[in-house]
Amino acid sequence: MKTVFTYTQPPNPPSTQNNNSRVGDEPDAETRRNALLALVELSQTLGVSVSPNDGDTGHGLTRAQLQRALATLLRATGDYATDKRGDVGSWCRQAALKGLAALLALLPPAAPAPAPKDGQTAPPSSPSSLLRVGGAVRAAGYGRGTLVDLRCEGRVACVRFAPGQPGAFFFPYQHGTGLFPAAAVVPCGDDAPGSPASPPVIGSETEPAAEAEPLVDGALFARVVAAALQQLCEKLDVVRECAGAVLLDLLTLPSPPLPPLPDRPLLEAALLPPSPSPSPAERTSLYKAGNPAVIFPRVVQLLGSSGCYHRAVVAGMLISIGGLSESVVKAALGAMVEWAQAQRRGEAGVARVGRTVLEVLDAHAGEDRVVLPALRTVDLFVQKGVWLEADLFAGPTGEPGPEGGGSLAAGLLARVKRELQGCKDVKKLLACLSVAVHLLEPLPLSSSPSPQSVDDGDGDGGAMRLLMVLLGHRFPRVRKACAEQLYTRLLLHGDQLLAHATVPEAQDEVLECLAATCWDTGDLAGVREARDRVCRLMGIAPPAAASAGAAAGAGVLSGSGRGSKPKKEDELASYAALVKEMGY
Amino acid sequence: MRDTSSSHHIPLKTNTTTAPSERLQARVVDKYLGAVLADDNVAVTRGFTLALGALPARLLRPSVDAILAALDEMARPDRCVGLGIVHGWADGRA
Repeated sequence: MKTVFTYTQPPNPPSTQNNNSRVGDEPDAETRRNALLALVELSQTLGVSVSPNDGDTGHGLTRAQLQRALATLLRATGDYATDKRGDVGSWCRQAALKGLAALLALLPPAAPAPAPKDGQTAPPSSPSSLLRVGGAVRAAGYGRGTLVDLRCEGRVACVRFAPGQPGAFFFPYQHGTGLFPAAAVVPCGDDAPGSPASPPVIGSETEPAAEAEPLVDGALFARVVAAALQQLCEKLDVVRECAGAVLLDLLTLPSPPLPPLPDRPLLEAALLPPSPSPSPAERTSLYKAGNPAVIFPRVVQLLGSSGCYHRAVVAGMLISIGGLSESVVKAALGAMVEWAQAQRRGEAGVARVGRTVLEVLDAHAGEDRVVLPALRTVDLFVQKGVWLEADLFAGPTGEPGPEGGGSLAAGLLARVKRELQGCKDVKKLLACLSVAVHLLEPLPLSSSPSPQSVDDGDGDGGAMRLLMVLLGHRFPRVRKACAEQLYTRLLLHGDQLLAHATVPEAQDEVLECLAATCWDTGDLAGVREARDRVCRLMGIAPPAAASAGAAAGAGVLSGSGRGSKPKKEDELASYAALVKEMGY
Repeated sequence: MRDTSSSHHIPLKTNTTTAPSERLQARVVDKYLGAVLADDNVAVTRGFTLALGALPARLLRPSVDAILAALDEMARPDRCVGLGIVHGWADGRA
């Protein structure tokens, strides 16, 4: 009896039946990480063509494919996705960093293949991928022949030598066919094997030096290093450790296949271990566990380097300093303060950091992941003296600010205002508030005390008006914090800040009003009345009046002076009153 | 007489550079690519994505560009799995 087995395809693949694990149309960090791992493994399997040209030889990745893989990995270093498990994007960032180092390590050495026995200098490159079956090739020491076949994934060349060539004597069988490592065979320009014009002389072949564009240019390499540097400065220990190891790898890769790196001596001095040839144990211990106390003092040295590294370091430090983990914040801020003190001689370095901070805030406008730590960092910078008053309010920062403001303070104020537009996040509001308090600048006495003159939105008028808006904010916590911070600031510097006030004893009255009013009460109208009184005392038009004019941001923030707002305000006010009444 | 045995003589090996048959290609590479790009089960996309990277060179070579494009697509920071089915997961949870 014969049994017949039949195999029928199930009607649906299992994946569509198991409904519990279906999360279609959702991002999946593990898939992204696996794609990066696969990309690297694939590249390692195929290798990279020795040929720097675009010609597809069927072996290894071509230039375009390599560039594409590198671009994919570089993009993945900016993967900051989070879900309920936390910073899952960090898996992708780590995979991408390791992958970049692995891919750059794959670059074929530009060094010549080992010379044949006669000691003649070998050809400058061994472009085995240029080899074409049927084409004319030359094997050093054996003369010219025809490439019959490529074997072992292109590593072995099978060459048939024409009669009369030296190779034909060495390989008498199979019509003068010999096997060579592909690296020892170079293609000839003309397709006439054994042309009589060039009589073969053993060991006398010379090759024209084929100067070609490198597979990876210096700018791309610098971008890779900058991406790793940024990760080295960020807040997760495990990512810093990974980035440190990758940077050590990148900086110790042989230089000939890799292009020269901008500011390489500076990078090496800052990042490599002190001994010239570190042992593996030394290398692993240097960045072990991403120790912030080790890493940040090293990294800040790179703040003086060229554009891309500087930007990467600043962007990373902003995240770290404004972060929440105590050890990282302390180490990063400490390193930054020390660096700034060392820079005091020439102010250029500190001002440059300021410009870069503005750039980062512009590049990530509206992204709380970056903006919130950056605002906290700015606050800490001013508190700890990384930026002094002179830095904040110095005239033009050297380049025209994107939003017209000349000084760093004006630039920061413009960013703070932009971030406050429609913001309902108390943490962010408070961070903006602390920055705005630092941006208060005493107006010069010569300026007109008329309230309308400070309507341009920059300088002290802008910062003080912003604070007045926050003093009348819908959220009680914001109002209270604003009153407290303003009180402290006016107590310390009131004589300068209120120099232009209309009332002589303005400072005392303002302080009294700030202290006497209960700012976190539910009575919004009463609070706003008190706020308007403060404004009048300081000689500033109350924001409600200003919002009817051109200052749109202030109007949105205060929510007053608009026809559509009052109803909502009443709701909120009553809700706040309810909460207060119920004792929550 | 030169000694040619040390460096330049390599024993003959079977030829491994021929392209895979169409059937093999369809059953492995194309199937994996389809699963990676279109399946909405994360376990499937995770596994097949890794499997694409682990293929031997012989299978990779004819379709490097397609595989690179798929991996590039899947590695996008904003990529969602199983873009073909938009509301499938909601049905599954109901």
